[in-house]
Amino acid sequence: MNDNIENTNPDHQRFAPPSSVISSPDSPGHKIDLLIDNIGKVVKGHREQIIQIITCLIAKGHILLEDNPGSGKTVMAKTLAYSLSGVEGHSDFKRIQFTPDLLPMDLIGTHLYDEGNKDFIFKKGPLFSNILLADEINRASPKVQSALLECMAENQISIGDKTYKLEDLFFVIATQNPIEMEGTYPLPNAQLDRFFMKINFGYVTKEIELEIYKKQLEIQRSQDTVESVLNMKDILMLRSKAEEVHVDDEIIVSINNIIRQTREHSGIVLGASVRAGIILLKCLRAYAIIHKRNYVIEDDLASLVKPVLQHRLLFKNLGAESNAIQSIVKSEIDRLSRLNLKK
Amino acid sequence: MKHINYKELAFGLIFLILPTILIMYPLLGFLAEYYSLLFINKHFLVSIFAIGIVTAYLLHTTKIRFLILFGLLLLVINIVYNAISSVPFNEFDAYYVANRFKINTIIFVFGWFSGFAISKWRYYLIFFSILLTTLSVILISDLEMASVNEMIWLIAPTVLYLFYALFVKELLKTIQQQENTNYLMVVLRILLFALIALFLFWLTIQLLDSKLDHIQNEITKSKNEGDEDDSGEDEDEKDSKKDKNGSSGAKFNLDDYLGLRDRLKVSDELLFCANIDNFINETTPNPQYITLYHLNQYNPTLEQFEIDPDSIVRDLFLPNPTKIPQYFSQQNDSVLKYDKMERATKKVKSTIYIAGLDPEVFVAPSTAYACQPISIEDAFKEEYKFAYNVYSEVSELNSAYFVYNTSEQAIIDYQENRYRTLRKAKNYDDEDEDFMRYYTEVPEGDLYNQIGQLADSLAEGDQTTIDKILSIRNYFLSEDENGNPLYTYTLTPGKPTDPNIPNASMLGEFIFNTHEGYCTYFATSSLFMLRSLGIPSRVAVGFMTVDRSYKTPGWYWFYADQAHAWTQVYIPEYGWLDFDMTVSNQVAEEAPQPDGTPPTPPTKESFVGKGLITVVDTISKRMEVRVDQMIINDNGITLDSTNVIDMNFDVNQAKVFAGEQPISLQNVKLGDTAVMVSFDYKLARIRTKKTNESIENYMQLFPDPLTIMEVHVPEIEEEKLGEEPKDEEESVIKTITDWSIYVLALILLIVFILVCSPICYFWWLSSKAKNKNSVTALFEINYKNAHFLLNQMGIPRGSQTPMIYARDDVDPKFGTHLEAFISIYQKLKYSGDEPTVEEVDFIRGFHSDFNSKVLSQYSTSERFLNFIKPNKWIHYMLNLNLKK
Repeated sequence: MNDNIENTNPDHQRFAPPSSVISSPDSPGHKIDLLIDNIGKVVKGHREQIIQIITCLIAKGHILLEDNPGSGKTVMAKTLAYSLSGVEGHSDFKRIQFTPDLLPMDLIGTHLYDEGNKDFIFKKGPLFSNILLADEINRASPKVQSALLECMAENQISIGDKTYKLEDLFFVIATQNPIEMEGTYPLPNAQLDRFFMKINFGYVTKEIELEIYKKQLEIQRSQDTVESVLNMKDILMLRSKAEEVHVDDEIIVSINNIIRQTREHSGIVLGASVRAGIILLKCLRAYAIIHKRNYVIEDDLASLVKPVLQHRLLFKNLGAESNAIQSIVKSEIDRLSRLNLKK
Repeated sequence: MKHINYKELAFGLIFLILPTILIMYPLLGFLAEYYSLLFINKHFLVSIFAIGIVTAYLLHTTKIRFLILFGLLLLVINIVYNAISSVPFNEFDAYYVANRFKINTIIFVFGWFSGFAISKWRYYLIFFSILLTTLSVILISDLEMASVNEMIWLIAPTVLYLFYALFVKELLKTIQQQENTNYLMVVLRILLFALIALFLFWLTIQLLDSKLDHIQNEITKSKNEGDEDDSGEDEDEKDSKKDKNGSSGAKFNLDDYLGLRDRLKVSDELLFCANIDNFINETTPNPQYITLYHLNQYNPTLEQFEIDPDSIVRDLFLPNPTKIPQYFSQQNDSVLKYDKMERATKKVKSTIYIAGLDPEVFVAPSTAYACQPISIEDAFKEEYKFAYNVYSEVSELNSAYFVYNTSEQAIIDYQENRYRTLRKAKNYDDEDEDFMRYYTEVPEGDLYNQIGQLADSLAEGDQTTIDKILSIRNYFLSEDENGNPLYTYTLTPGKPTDPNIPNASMLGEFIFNTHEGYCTYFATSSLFMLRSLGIPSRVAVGFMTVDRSYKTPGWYWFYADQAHAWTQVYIPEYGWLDFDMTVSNQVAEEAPQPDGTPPTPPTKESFVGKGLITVVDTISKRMEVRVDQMIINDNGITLDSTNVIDMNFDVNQAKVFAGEQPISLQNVKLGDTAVMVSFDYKLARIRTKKTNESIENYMQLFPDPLTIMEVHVPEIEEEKLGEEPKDEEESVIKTITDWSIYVLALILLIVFILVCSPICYFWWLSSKAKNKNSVTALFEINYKNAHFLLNQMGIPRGSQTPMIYARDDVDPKFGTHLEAFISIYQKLKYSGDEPTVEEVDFIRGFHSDFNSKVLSQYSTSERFLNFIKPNKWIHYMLNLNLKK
């Protein structure tokens, strides 16, 4: 059959789509490819998750990873941090292991007495960094959790009468462990809402897992020698580019439809808020930039609605949890894909 | 909230529910006819069924619980039914209202149930179709249908529907489940049901076999009838008897008037209208009863009258008016042996306009002897379907005024005068013995002896027949000790309850106990009283004439509730006279039916000629007819075969009728018998033909060509009846073959449409793609074309986004550039930017590249088969966006 094509119609071999469709090296999205590839060298088989994390990064949000221990959450965060260069060398990466006895000042920092100047000086805590990995966030007391979430929302810290501004690029990757729920303080819904996305890592495919075992040493080494491919300026530039992405009216109508349908769906107890819609819109813009577009298409919607909305909704049962969003998205994609072009 | 797919709903409504409603049409029609559902016409029944099925279909598609709603529905209906049946309207209506309600609700509930079941149960349609087919088979075997067309009308749609509905239902199911592999299953299932349906069809034909024989016998008989006049008479009577008991039963049931029942159904349908040209003096009309037939034989066990087929005396003229050519008359005055009296008789002409009655049933005054069908004025063709003149010998002493009191002096004088005359009448000594025995026969039994004793006591001291009759009448009109009427009229006399009356006789109950009954009770009891007094008498069944209109004297309207039975008494020298003993019906008199407008009789025909058509010239509108019978100004001329004359007719202004059906001149066949009618007033001046004048000479008086207003040719069916029975059998087969060709053609047409539409759509898309369109339209067409082509080839997009569909499913399989196309398409769609020049060039070449790459993966036969699969096509159309 395939021979047939070649023999009968040589013309068709010459027929090809214009180059602009395949690649455009000067677009800002091109740099992100470097970043994704860079992380991909270390974190194998999680391309989709990498893109989602970068989406959050560019959308000025934070991300919550939820998975079993040992699925590569920490490595992922670290590699991302090392791939970005700060003013000097790598960007500032901090990691805090959350425990029940952790105190807010362990995050924020404390005032120490300076003998020389006979004055209190502020010793900055780990929050003053570019990328913060908050491991097992649900193990800390609600006091600590809210302190962290406040910083995430405000991008600044108030201690006494002084306000300290956080870094321009402040990105929190929080993780939580779905098993071993004993002695944990699960995040309330209102706080979960502040994370742009909650994603699951899941296991890699059989082939990739095999590759990981085979090239274990190599991966280990590359983990230690991650090159930085993007600097802070690039990220800030991408963020400003994302704000210029064109979102068609029909896409906005679809976002609205989706958010409203979560409120009316029979399997959903608590629907999505307006903030959820705004966050979805921000994520869509970032996602479009990552895919080298300056407009949002229906595919973006298809891949982002679930990670953005899943953790904000309260479902009636497991069945609804796995199907509700999918069916809502499906009907909207159907609607969009059947729309005629504007004349 | 379940999301309702409106397109699917509409599809179901149009393609499944609508045909179901249509299929019920013939079935409910025949059902209504067969079970004599009073008042109810089939349109009404079908609309009730339609409301039920559509409501249920719509409601239950939206996930409303069936059991609760259905239960509620039944409950409400039950309550309403009980309420209606317990409320008495006067004395008779409640029963009918309740019954009618019951029938309607049964049909409604059946529709409701079907609507629900069609939308929910996959296998209901099988059950439904088998039910329909079984019903059709039962109906056909019971209805004694006379024509093959009718039989086919009943079976063929059901069988067709079976195929069709199963196919559509499976298709819909397949679409709902978005399965693509089930196509084979659909075909297999349909084949299976086709076999079942064919089996049922075969069974039906087997059942019909004997009926077909019966029809053939009937035809043979009617053929013989034409040869002999006397036996023809006999046949006519049998025919009309069958008609009266059978087909006219659909309208109102005359059987009810034959015997004594516990209740009587009445309806208010207009049956016919009559103009009886009988007056006492210049202005006072003297109405006559309109007779259907005479009842001479009484069955004492069943307490009902039967028509005596072996009657020694043929006392009623009973032609079949539809078999007489228009304007020609059939007559037989031998039936008037006892009516053609020398004294006080006159010839009365009545004109009958048939509306609700079967035109084959002859209704006329009792003493009719001639019948002449006439045409109806155009304005009244809707209202009346047939008309004829009736000539009767009416005694001047006969009148429908007997019981009813009237204040009109002319009638009182007339009554007095006629009693005076009748008192002078002869006694029965000179009468024929057989005749007397036949008409004075009373059944054996205690009851009849008691009646005889009662009659004797009533008529004690009366010398003349008329005095005896008056005594009996006065007895029925007498009052009891409380001053109330002794006898009352009711349609619901009820069953005998008094245990003292032997054998629970309805008649005994009436005379000796309740004194309540309807006309048949009065007629029966007075008949036996008269007969036991030795007065020859009989019961006549027909219609009571109520003179209600003072505006149009002589015109009478006959409604179904005027059906009546009464006694007739034979008086020597004066013949049979009507003496109605029934007391007046208060209810009916208080609420009479409305009168209609008299259908103005058409202009007097001045010339009628009958003969074989020899020339038909449709251009100059001329006809030449070999005339063998003529009527010129009411004078009939019959020409024997040697001197028939050819006449030229100008048919420029003529209307041509086949039976009652207007046809065009082109459809007139040579060799047919035609009746030419002219109303030309100039012809009215032509004198009567002298006895020994030659016909040629006489014809000189007529213009040539003669201007004709109406041409009547026989109906096609009648023509067939005249043919040999063998031909009939052939034509039966021919009709069946014709029908199967039609059915086959219809199936082929449907298949053709189903096959062609996807291909045509594809071609249409391709041709549009090649035209110089705007870029947007080009994108649109390419987008649709790709979707459609892939859908037909069995790779529907499903719920994937177009981009992923293109990247994962299409491009790897066919080596196409669909992903690139989709990304450009979406750029145009969502970014609002114009496409670049390279992109437009790409799009221009995309169509042919894509189609050839996809199609080259399939062999020609695969392509074709994929294209004609209608489920894919319908699925695609259902998913197509209709919003512009």
